Amino acid sequence: MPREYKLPMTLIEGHAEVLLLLDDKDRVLDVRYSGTDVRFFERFWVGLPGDELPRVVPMICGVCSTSHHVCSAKALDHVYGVEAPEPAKRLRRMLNLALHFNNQLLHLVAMGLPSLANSEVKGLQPLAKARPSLVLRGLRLARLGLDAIKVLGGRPIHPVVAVGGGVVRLPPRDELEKLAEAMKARLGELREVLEEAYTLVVARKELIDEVKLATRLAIATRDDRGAYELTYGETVVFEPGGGELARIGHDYQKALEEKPVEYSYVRHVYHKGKPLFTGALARFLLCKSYGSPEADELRDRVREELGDKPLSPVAYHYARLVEALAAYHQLLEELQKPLEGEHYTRPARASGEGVGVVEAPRGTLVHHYRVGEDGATEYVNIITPTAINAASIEETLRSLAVGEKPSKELADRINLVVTCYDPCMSCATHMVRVRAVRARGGRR
Amino acid sequence: MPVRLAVVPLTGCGGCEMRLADILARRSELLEGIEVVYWPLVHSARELPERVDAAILVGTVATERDAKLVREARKRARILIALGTCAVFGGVSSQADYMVKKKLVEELYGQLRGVPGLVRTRGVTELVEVDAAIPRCPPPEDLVEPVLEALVRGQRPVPPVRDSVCSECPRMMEPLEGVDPEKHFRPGLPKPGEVDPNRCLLVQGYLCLGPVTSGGCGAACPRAGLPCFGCGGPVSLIVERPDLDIPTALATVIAGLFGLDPAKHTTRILRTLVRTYGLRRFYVFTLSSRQLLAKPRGYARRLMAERRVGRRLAERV
Repeated sequence: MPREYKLPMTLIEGHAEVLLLLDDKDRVLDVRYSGTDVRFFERFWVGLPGDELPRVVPMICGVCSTSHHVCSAKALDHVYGVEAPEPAKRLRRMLNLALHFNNQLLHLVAMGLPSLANSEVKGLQPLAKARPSLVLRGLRLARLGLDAIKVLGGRPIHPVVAVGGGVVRLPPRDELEKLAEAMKARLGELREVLEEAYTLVVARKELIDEVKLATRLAIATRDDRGAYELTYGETVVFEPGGGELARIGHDYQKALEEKPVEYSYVRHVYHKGKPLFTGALARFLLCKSYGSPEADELRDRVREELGDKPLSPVAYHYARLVEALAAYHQLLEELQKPLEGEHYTRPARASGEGVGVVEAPRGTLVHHYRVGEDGATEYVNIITPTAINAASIEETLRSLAVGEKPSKELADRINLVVTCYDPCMSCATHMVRVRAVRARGGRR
Repeated sequence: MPVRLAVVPLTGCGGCEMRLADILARRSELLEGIEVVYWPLVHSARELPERVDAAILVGTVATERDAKLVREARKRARILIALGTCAVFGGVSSQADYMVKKKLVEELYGQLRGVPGLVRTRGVTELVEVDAAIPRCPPPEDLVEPVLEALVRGQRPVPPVRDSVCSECPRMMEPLEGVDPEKHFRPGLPKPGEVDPNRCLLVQGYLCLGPVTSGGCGAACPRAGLPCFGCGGPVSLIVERPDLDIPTALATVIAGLFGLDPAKHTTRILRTLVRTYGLRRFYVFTLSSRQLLAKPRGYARRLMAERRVGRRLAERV
């Protein structure tokens, strides 16, 4: 009888399972990372209007809806053969910055830092009791990002203003000013929260050496001078410490291969057969500057602490701290410049094919559409950061678990590592379970 | 004693959970009145505990596991809330039921093993009785806060009722005189600069579901310049009255706009709408909801039938 025990795990967005396959000596033979539900966003909009896609795809994920929204509008620009006017591009960029700020901070206080706690029960509420100044203040600050998305995008969750060709409206100037004032007034509070978070992350510094990334390739976006840019940059596959191997553009399929695996609703993604990691850490390793002196200072402090190229999933948390600060500063700077002028370009054609690429909080996001002459959607392909990270998560868990005996400690460690990557299983699933199964006859 | 609260995520996007977390952070007195005993997003509890005072279900039932969780939650929680359009009507994921899911799985993934099986997408209200059902995507703060306040007091929340999106829309809806409804409507979204920012989008010839959709969003889309696409779910009148359905109710409103007798002209207008936009547009968030499948004229049912025969039937209204 194959023995099977379930150790459900938490503190990620969505459902996934980690399966441990055991040999006949009860040691882990192999590890599988599996997404366990599915919503078919890539199929169900076929036949429905293509111009509605930017309003529908945010519903893939309520946590990072804004990145899907912006990515979708970029893909539709390409479909319709137009370039969005500069003010529209700036609004889209600001939307994405607001989301990144919200998301990196939210992840840290609600999932990341609770996962690092040494307590039996880990979670937002226990941590909030111990450190209200960090958790409650952090969450309230993160809300500023949502307030910004509401002003910029019409709604805080599932924004609506971006369309193929630009944006349907620019926000009123007085609301932008009010937002900028609110953000300026709370910068000091943000510094305090990030400092307290930094202390907690550094307190578990030993994890950096204990858990290493098992994959060497990464994918992220930078501007043409190598600085932090989430929305209108160049996306590259690179080797941290080595060179850039490929550019991800409209022909993304040349550099990224999608492979279904039989145990998951999430397709794995590879570059020339090799897994990749993406997200805050990949951007940390790629970008020469964060476009904000204060964020660069914090980045330098992290480098002093961990070395130049910290290749551990735990380093994601450090990168999130830097990003929360960088995105805040960049958004504040943008808010203080006037945002006006033409914000929409009429489509040059009704139908076509297009690809949009942006950085979502969890990494590189690709939307690829084909729209027919009648305006109806014909084809949708979406590569989410979590799909890109899936193979890397699996490899890293393998390096951690193979040969070990399943135990509570191992399960906790696996959960901790999965939370570092911050997988967002929404387009797929809702809860991580660790399930140990003894492989029949000890075969792989 | 704090209220033992479980937030139970089914298949969905997490947007409703974002809303809950945001409210609890801002109103920490509510957080103090609650003991989170299960909420995988932000808490390490591995299973739904045996004893739960209140459970909030978010997301839609799309897998066998979802269905099991919903029934478990009903058994264990004294008060059960369905939060969001997905939990109440099935939500946007229900569009997958227009296709044959088994075929979609084969196309996208090939052979799968060991993942939970898929079921018809539906709201939790089709499986269990809930104490309050609050649609919208996600429900706005001022609708969720009273629910949490009631839970903290240990009371069953009173489900909030809101008027349509139109009631919150600043655009002017003026009668259309001397216009042929059959030539009035055009496909596609309004293009910025080509529409009057102050006039009703239906009046300007675009499909806006505002009159038949639950408000609470502050008419975010029409305010921005886009017609309502129905994410709040149908207004309560359509849910309560078996004779009313989303497309027929909208056609009746439009007949009124044109100064036409609804009894005589609703069907003609409905035909025009369906010819221009297709029936699926009326059920983007509610396609496989039993409440709408059961309507006597059965438009949602016809859509689901198209799936089986593999061609468009619903154009024949």
